[in-house]
Amino acid sequence: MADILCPHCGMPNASEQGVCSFCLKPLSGKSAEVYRPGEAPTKKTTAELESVLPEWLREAREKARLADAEKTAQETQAAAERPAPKKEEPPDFLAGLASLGKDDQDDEIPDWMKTAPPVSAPSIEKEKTFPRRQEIRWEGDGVTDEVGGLATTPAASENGDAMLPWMHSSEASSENEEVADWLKKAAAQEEERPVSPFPTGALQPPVTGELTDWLDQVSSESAEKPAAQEDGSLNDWFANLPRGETTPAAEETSEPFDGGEISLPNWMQRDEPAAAANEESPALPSWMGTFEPSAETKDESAAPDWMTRERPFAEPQQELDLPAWIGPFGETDESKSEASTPEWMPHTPFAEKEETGLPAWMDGTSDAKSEPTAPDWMTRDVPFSESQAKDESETPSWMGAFGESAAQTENTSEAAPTQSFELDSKFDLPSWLGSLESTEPAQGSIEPPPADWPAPSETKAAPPDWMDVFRDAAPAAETPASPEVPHAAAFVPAEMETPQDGQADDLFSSDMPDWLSNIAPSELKSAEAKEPTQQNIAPAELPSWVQAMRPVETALPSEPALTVEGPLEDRGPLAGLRGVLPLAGIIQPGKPKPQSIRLQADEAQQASAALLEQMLAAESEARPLRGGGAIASQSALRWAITAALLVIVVLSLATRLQITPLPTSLPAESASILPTLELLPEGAPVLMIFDYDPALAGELESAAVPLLDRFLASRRPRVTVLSTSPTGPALADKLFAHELKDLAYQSGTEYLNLGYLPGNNAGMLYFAEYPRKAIPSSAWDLPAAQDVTRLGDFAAILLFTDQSETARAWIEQTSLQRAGRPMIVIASAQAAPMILPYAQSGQIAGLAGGLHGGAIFTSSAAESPARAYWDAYQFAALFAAAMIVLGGLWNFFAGLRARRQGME
Amino acid sequence: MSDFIVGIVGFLFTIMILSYLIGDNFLFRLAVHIFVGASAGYVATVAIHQVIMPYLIVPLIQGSMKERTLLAIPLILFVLMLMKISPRLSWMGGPAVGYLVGAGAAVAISGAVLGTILPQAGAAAQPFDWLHNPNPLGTLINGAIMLVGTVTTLVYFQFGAHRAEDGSVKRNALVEALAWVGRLFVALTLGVLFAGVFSAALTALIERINSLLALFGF
Repeated sequence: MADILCPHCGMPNASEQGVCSFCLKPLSGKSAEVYRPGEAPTKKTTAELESVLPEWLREAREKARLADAEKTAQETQAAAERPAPKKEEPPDFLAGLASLGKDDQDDEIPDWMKTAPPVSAPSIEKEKTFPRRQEIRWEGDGVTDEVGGLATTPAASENGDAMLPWMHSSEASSENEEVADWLKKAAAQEEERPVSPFPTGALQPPVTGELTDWLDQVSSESAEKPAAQEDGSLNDWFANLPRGETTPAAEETSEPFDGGEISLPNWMQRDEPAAAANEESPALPSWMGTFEPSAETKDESAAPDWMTRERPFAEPQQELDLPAWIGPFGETDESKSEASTPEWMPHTPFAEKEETGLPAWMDGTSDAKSEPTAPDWMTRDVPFSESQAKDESETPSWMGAFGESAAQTENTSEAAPTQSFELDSKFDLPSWLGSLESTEPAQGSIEPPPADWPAPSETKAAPPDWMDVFRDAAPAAETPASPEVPHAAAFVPAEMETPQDGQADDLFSSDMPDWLSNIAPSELKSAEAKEPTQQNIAPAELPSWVQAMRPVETALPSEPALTVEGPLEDRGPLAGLRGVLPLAGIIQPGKPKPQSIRLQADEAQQASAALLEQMLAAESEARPLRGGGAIASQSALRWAITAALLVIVVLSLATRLQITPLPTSLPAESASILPTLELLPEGAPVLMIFDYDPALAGELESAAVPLLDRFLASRRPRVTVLSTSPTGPALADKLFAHELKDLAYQSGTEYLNLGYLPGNNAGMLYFAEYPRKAIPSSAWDLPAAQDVTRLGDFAAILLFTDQSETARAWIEQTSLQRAGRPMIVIASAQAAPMILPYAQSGQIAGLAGGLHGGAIFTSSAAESPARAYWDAYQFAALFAAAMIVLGGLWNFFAGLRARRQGME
Repeated sequence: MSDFIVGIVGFLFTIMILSYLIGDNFLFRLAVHIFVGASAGYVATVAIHQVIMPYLIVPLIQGSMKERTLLAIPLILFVLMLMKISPRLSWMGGPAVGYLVGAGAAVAISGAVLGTILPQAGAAAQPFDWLHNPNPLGTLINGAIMLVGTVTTLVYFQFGAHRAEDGSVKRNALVEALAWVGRLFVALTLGVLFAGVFSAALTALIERINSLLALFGF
């Protein structure tokens, strides 16, 4: 059978289906989504988007599906392989659904069948997308007790489908595969795991006293109840169950509703006859088949003992406090008889009929139309009362106790308005119950119990705990919730499919048992009235500690606590407030005035500064030369000049060319040197100061040697050498050792070298005042300076220097202490111009500068450095002068030419 | 022999220094470094043997108590001067440096005043004493030239000016003329100084070449 993929959820569905079994949306036609701009996006499932998924993801999903399918197949196979204990097959309560379905003119698949999940694709997605039908569990009972799925606490379904486990079909028909599968599963599961409904865990009902109190109470109270028909009260409604007929609804469903393999709780399970009955009616679940009033099912040995013997809860229940809706199920003494079926079962519409074995409402062949499709207990209009309970043979005995409490309000019950119990969208009943709707909802208007029924709290006996499940549907005001125990509804309406229109009413039609229709009908309506918008869960009763955790809204005071007088502030951060202290000009609101960091200067000052800046710039900028173009290579010219100069000098020196005459005229500053020195007495102490650098030693020596040769040779003074330069004494020794070696001055007697004089100007001054202290040495005792105690004791001072500053310092510091003694300065050519004023002012006796100064004191016949250097000096100087002149002329004529070109 | 070695070393260093003609090079730098190092060493030796020893160490050892007491001050100043080596303790050498600077400035100023300003000023005015000069005209002209040169040179370095109508900056015409003359004297003076430097350098060169030639027998 080809599967059709639902365009909405992407789940496979049978081709015959028009509505998806999972999302209950049409499979064709309307499935095409039309996207309109502006609309809210529709929620998509992953299955719908599978085409756009990446390949690896699709493969993973496919593998997951296959794995799930394999797992399901294995489970199914394992369930099929295990022989189902026919003895334990419970009666198929819903076997009559097939008959009901036949009577229905509507050939569509009932909702409860549609919701049956396909066997081929039980997957995790189903669990996520579809709600879980949770089983109601007996509270306090740790064992799962699948009492038709109605009396157990919520439990997760293994398959993830929306069906109760006991609803799973054991056999799958060829036509309705889906229904059969799930029924099969349920039966297989129940077969595998027999669940004891009793706290002891035994499958057999315990002896009186072991069950919960309410059962005991029920049994005690039911002593006055009309006894159930032992002979077949249970069998009656069992007989009413359809046999071997597939109801139209069942045919249309994917899974036929045959109760052959449905696993029911043990107390509902029958022996083999029940299983056989189920086999005869493959459309019914197995558990429902066991309820067929076959002769075999009457075999007490096959039924659990507790179902056959005197039921402990059949004992009179005194002071039993039961909820009102349980009333119809009031138990009677007769129900405690050793009927093969529970007392209540005969009272249920699922009681077998002698004729068909199925309850009338489930037997399609019976006069379902004429007769109420639902058992009488489901179609009862009159509130439950004791008398009604007696009259109604279908009322199970265990439910009789509830009827007693209803009987107490018999008087008021009549006056109670008959409320047609309508299935509300809020009240979630399983969808499979929707098939029990009759075409004549008017026939089966289940009246809820009257509102003035005594509450459970009014009775002496407290209802059992499992009854609290049903009590949750009641409004919170009526029954205050227990803070300790969370309450939950018997069904989880939010996860269940809301029945379609019309099904709600049909659900609680006359064909439905009262115990189903009376599930908090009043509470439903009250809840609906209070929360009309809420579709699903009844308002829960929050415990007090949860209520205390609610966030408390902090309400701001609408008015200020204190009223302040004063002007209203209209600007600034305090706008809107009163009583604000005025600024009074202290603080200026707003942004402070920016202060300039620039120098504050007036226009006159700025003008003067600009003027000065321009003048300085004009002085420092280089004016462009007016003339010819610069020589391309300056380095070549430089090299040429250098080479020429070297050639001249070398040639002059090498050839000892002495063709240039020595200067004969003495300059004025040098004219008085020789006469001054000639006037000195012989052997007079003379101070010679050598303050020049070794770099210019050649020049100084060339300038000093001619003079010293003449002076030392003529007067033979005693020379005391001093220097303010560390290298001076060494130069003095070199001069006397090499240049004046011919004079043969003897160290110590004629020549005394005092060495280095530290302190620069201060040292000069100190020496000028205290020569022996300035240079403390034992050489002062030598004959060369034995009579010198002060500077004035020296006959003359000869200063040899290459720096004008040194000369100036000596001149300045010794001017007073010399006492008219002559000072002669032999200076370098570079310092002589600066020392000349001192000579012209008479502060010094004479000045000889450079090689020229030495040359004037050299005779042409004498061999002196000056003579040797003079020719080379002259030629080199001449060459330099020529270069200067030629360069000047070149620039001059080049400038003229450029100017002429510029003018042109 | 020693003279020959000295000559060879001198020749080599001369060549190394003259290699600066082709630009800065390793030989030139090597020669400069050797010269600086040798000079520093010689100076340090001279300072120790001719200053520290005779002026500080020997008096402290062999001097009288009075001399030693008087030497405490320079000794302390000497130690403080050594603190200049450490950046953290250089502040301790401040007093010694201050004393040196102060003493030197005083000596210099007194000498300059007594030895240069007053005598030079008198000497500048002497040419105008035509009554006591044997050649009054000559001395008077000389004096005038000297005076003009001095004044114009000072005017040349006067930068006071005003903005003309065309926006340019101009000095007074007289000032500008005197500044022009002063520019001539400044130029002549700089020329003379340059000539003296050139002469000195030329003489040094001649002396060096003569030494090299003498080494090789020329």
